[in-house]
Amino acid sequence: MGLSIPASEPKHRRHRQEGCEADDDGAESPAIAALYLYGDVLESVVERVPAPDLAAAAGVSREWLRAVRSALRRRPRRLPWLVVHLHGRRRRTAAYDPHSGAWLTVQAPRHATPSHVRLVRGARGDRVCALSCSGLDVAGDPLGTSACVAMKAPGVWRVDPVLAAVGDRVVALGGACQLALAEGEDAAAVEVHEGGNWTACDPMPPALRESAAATWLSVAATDHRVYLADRTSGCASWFDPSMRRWGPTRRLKPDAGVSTWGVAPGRAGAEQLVLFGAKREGEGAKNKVVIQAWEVDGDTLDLSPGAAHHAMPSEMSARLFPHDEDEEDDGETFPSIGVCGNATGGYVYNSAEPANGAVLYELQQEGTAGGAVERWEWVPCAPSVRAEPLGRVILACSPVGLNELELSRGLPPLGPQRACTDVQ
Amino acid sequence: MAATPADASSSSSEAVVGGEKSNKMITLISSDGESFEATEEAAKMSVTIKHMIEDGCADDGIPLPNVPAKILSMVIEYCNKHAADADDTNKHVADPADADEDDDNNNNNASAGEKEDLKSFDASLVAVDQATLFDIILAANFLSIKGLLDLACQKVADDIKDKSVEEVREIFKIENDFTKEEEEAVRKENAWAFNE
Repeated sequence: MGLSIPASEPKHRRHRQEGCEADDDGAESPAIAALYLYGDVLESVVERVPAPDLAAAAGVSREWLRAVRSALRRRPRRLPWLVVHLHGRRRRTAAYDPHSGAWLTVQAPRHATPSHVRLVRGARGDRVCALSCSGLDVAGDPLGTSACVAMKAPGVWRVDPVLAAVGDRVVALGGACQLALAEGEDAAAVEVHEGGNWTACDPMPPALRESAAATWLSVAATDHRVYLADRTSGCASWFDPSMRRWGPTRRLKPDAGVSTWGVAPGRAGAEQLVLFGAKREGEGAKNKVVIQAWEVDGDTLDLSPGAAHHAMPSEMSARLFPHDEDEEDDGETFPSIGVCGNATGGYVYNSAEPANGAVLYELQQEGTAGGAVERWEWVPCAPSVRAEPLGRVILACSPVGLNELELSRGLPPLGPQRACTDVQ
Repeated sequence: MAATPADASSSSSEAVVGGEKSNKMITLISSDGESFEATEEAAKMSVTIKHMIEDGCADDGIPLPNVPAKILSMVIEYCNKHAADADDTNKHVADPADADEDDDNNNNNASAGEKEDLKSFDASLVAVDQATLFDIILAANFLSIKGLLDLACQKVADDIKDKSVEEVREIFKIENDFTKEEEEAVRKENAWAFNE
């Protein structure tokens, strides 16, 4: 560099001599943060920085970047976020960061987007979408703030389909409008969107035909398949959109007392599912809701042998399904759960009363025996949802990256956009 | 019947009823030679000091060459407040037999009020200028006082909330030592953070 600098001089003074940044000469304070905020101490600080501000923290200086990376490596933030799309008097989106335990309100997008009332489930994260006769518009990011990816509408007019993104393909299953079915068309029809066009595939298996709509089915999408389970009967099957074939159909019913079932992807590595079941137990005033989890093999849909099933701690299931004081006999009501998740974990909620809150579950990772769920944690209701109890709520689950958080704050995106699926 | 810190320190926080707590005072000496007294209980909130006491090094006072007097007095104030609070909690837990309906409510109200007090105490403790805040962090780190370190680091993290990169640099007067290429690379890489 041509300058000889004594080795003991702090780095920032070197920069000053090279004429990089002008700063008050002789002032004490410039030195302080740089001298104190490094190493373990800086990591302790960065650890506590909420996700939306980590991008800023990482860009401050080399030491800060190192600290952010180290803090993330020590306590990786791998769990997906719970994203709530609220359609009340206004559209609002709130996202829960499981690492910091805080709800983030997302600014409404600047461009006018149609009302997104459906979900496309995906292993990389759920996305809201709008389906009409003219097209399917899928949000480009989990928080619904960036521009949509527009696709042609499926061939069959569907009013309540199951939609899933598997790899680069989108699958539409069931939910066809009975009144509009043409000759030979099937209510349980399945189509795959690939290369800009929808192709018809084998319809849903017979066991699921009676419940061939999103209202009756629980959906889990992995990188290769869409898994469907009837929420009442526990009948399940899977569909592989690249091979365009259905897997076996099995009745998953490890516990006869369960009134609703839900499925979510199992841990990464093997094709696995986690099956959740909710039931009411006990007599009269002492009855309570019990929610359990089982591990299911993805290929055969067999329940994993010997896998001890885990039950959600009862104080959490009691908060999801609180006793209604006025209800004479709430032993009659069947608890109904919704589940969304990915290979690291997800959320279980009361699908009739999503405003009660949710329970985060984290899956055991490879090599650990003894059941699917490693831990459960309570997630309080989003403040914006509690403020609007009559609004329609859609719960989705997705990893959220720093890029997406920047977008949600209305700032210009920092880098190249993530690759979109086929744009028509 | 609110429990005051004075009452709390004279009753036992041990599981065994009737045990005596040591009222021994420990002398702490700041880097500039000033001496401070603290109860052993408060001093033991610092794991570093706790070990020194247990190793028998504390009899002639504990020199703390890294901690100036101004900071040490704040640290001791924190320890006194929080040691008393920990004691109150134990007291309530240890006397379940005493709790009848009214007593319980009074105790709960008292501890709710005390919690509020503690929170506002904590908030005012760290509402200081940057230099003092960093000194507190260093002292808490050196003395291994987890609660205080958490509190101070959280305050710094709060100052970063909703700020841009330039603003963070401005607040902490941090020099940007990235090259132009490195800076671009970091901005592009931000998607990695949660998918690593």
